[in-house]
Amino acid sequence: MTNFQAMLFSKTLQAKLMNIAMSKTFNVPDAEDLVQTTYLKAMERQAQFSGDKIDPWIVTILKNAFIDSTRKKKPDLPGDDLPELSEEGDQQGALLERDRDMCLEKLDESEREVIAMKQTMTYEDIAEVLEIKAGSLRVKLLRAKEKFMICMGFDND
Amino acid sequence: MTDQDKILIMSYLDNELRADEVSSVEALISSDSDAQDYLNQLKMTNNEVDAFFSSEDMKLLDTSISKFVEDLKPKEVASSFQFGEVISSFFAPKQALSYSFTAVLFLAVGLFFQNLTYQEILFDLNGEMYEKQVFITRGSSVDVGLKGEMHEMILEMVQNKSPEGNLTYGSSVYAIFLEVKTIETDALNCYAGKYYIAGENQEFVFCESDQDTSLIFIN
Repeated sequence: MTNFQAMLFSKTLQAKLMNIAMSKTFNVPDAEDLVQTTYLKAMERQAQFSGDKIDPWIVTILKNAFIDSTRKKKPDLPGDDLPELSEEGDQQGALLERDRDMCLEKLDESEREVIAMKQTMTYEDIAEVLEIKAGSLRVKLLRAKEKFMICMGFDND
Repeated sequence: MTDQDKILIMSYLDNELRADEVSSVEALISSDSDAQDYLNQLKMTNNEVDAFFSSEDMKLLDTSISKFVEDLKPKEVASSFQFGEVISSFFAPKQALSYSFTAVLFLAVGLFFQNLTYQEILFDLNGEMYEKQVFITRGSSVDVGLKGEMHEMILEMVQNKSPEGNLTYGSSVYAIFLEVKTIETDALNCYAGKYYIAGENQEFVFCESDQDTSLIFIN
């Protein structure tokens, strides 16, 4: 396996791509398509990769692939694919899950993106991928989390 | 509470602070009830975000993408000439020579032949990826520290049956792959692999017996 392949096929990168894809598409089938397209495009373009770090390069591929896919399809309306609540079972848990999904969906795409990236990356790595300063990243992440926090009613105000 | 305090509290929960910053945030939290409340609100927020990214949907996605990636990986074709096989058949009839001597020979050969095809032994590591973060403290010797941490990390990977691992050492991330099992006896088990950092790779052989472990860098 080449260095490129080792980086491309690592479980860490896979987790990063899945989280970012899910933060953008908000549903499994579209996230699956987006991640698969990203891998295929990365393999096609491996000759263009010349850096030490694959993350910024492949995240750009994923973002461009997402833009291409949204141009091709009509966007879903917010809340379209939220799960129906069942009559039985844990209603409270299902409600919390529904609120959580709705509040995440209410965030801007770039806010969801930083939250998704934080699941598997350090502040320093996220700032590098997004080409912003570490300080700006912290502010952006805090704003995103606060927006989600307020939507969920976790703030005391 | 200022925005800077909020950022410090968020960074504290995300393990993104230096030791001196941790002390000041802990002092703030213990002395300021607003800071304590904010910490709890952020914890609830993080819990919900974590729940989303570890939901059943994400597990479904992981299963399907893992299969897709496996199919994309180039398939390793084993060479018809197994150097290890030749060496083991040479030693097999000679009972006087111990397994450990054979093992030492395998390792020694590995030092000089980078493209050596290892003896086929069932690879028994199939667990989850193993991750570890090491903070470099002042006064630590980076070279000695890194090798020591790498050694301990690989030992833990073997114990956890993890073929892949990520060692975050200071600000550097080392991707470690245990690729083949090279020796399996009652007394000794060895694995060969590579770690990657900044596009470069380093081959190694890791061995463990009941009493000892060793890590040898090859190239």
